[in-house]
Amino acid sequence: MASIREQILQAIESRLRAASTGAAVFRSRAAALSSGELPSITILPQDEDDTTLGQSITRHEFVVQLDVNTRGDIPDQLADPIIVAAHEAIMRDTTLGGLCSRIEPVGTKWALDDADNTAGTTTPAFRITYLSPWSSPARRA
Amino acid sequence: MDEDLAGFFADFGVSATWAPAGGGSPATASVMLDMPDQDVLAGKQLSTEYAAMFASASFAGIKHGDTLTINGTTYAVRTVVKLDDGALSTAHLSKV
Repeated sequence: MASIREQILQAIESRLRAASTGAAVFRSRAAALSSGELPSITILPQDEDDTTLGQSITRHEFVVQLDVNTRGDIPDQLADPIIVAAHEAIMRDTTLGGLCSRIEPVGTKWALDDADNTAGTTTPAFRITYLSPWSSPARRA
Repeated sequence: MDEDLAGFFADFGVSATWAPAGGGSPATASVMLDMPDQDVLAGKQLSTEYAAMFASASFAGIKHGDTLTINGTTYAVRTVVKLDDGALSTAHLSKV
């Protein structure tokens, strides 16, 4: 059985694919995106902090980022409606079907680069809190 | 030097027409067009880096926002940089 972490990533991917973002969706893609693959959203696990609760429960704070890649005169403006649709799709159910206890948006970063039409990556991030027993990262506590 | 450049572009160049953004008179000269793909945004995206090299005197005053039409394709000028002694320049372009 997949870890809760992996199930969360799959749930986010599923919600983004079902949403009307107008963008292709990738997971953990490291290869550079060609202009024909844009706009796109790449789902990336960023980091996770764990805290022990009592003697047998771990509280996980898992941060997932969405790299929204666009190309144009104002790439951050092109990313804006995609981010709104993605945000609403993810936050519609803040337990992701019971996988977690909470999702919260934790900030957005922007990067631009000179290119054949300006290249942009806008990166909103979400902190996802969930509990698991020490005995298994695949079970909810 | 000018004769060498003229021969170089005559042998290897393609015709390009410069249209200033401000509406001045267009000019036509030979350029060397390159279009290699290159990583941008720390490897997140690929960009085709259209670049036209030309004798600087051919397109004196060319700048960001002007257009170059090469082989029937129009490109917007992003930046212009002089090379070495300044006799040659390269215009970095975006396909319009």
